[in-house]
Amino acid sequence: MTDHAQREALHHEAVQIVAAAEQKIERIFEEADVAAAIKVVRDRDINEGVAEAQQITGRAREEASAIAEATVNQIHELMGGTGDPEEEEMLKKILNSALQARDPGVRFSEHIEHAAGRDLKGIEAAAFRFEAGLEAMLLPWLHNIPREMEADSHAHGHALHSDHVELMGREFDVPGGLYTVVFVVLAVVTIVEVIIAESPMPNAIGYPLLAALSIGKAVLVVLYYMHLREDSRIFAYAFGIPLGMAALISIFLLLVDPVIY
Amino acid sequence: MADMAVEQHHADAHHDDHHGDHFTPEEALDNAKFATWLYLGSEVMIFTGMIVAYLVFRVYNPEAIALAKEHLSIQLVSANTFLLLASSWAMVMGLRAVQQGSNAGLVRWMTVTVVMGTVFVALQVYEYVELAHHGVVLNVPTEDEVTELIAAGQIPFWMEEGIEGLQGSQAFADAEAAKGEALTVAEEGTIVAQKLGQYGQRFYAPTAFHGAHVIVGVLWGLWIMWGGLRKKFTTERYAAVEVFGLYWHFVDVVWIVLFTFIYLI
Repeated sequence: MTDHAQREALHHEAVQIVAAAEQKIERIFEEADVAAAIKVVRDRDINEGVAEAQQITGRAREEASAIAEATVNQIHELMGGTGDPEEEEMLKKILNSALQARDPGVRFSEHIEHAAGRDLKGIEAAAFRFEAGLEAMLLPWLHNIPREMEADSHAHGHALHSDHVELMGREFDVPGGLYTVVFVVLAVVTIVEVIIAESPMPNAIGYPLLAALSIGKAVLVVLYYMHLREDSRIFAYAFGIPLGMAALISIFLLLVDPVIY
Repeated sequence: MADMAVEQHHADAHHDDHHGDHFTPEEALDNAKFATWLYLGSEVMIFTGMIVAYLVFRVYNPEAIALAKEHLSIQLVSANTFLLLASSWAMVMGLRAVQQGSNAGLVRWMTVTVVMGTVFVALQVYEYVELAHHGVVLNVPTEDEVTELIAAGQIPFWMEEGIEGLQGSQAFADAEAAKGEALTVAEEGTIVAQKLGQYGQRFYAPTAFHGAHVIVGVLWGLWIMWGGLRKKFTTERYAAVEVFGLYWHFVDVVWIVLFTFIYLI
């Protein structure tokens, strides 16, 4: 049996050990480069970003678990396993406090997994929010993140459904919104093309201009009507790589001597 | 995205909302879109082959181009271009309607798309008939065949026009130099007929292949309309509409390129 003063001293030491462990764990999550994962979500691919986030938080979680476990052992040793119910109670509280420090990492990972599984566009919107409140999010008392993300995922991704258009600093409403604006641009550019083709403009100027306008029109259709602007980049690769190869082979065929034709 | 979706699917296989081999609507849409983009990538290669074959001919045969272009109607093709652009707009409006839950809206816009596609094909057929009438055909005749044609009756008007157009041209000068004397009407006619035939082969390949895509698109569009009439699509399930949209817009993109590089340049 330990006397009261000894117990107090042990308690104090235990609390200090846990506080030090908590600080270490907090630093692990601070250092975990979650921002990198979010950048992947935004720049490259949502699923890839989620996988990266899971990896990062997984690593942080493992480290945090190891520290928490070591702390538990340290305190067990310190308290000597005396069987004193008061000490046991205190021990439990201290251990809980150490273990709770792991929670934010677990939650972050789960939120991302959940949102990615349910709504890919939602996670993208959520990623922007995460970036802004990254540090705060890693703290255990931010329980409202999942709800915010749900709300976001429903609200986001329907800009093309609106009749409201913001263009070159001006805002206006037009039936069909951006889709109609793109159509008008395509029609006007086509008229311009015909005018150029029928005009006495020298071919050295006219042809490159016509080619550029044509490519511009094609890009508009691909970006806005085929939604490549907002869809996953892997679609762009599936289309862009053959297109690039086709462009190269075209240049080659146009440059080589066509004597065999 | 598709493979990612598959991975995601397996990772979530234990969830209650996943059963057997079924995908969620989002996963099904992403898989279908990825497959469509891959398919369109292969189409890019095919069309490029045809367009480049035309361009190489275009660069090295300016006389054939000048001869044939007299018969291309820019007004007609511009109208057709406008139709196809408008049909693409109608298509995307149809997709928007179904994403907002309106099958009726989808059917309305798809009707516009299909009608415009049909008119496009009709005008293209009219254009082909006109061009064939002016000697732009797929056949590259030999001098004997042209001699027979002339011997059988009158010289075709397009050949006569062509000979007039090529008077003093490099093609006639080269042929005369090789022969060492003036060309006969049959020889001049052969040069004209061959140039138009060579042009025709390179002109009809990409434009007709594109036209075939429009015909397939019109039939596919009718099928989508039928789905809309049966209220088959919902705000969650519209992958078939979006995939058709990708195809139709791609056909539009190809035409944008053909219009400029074959008709305008």
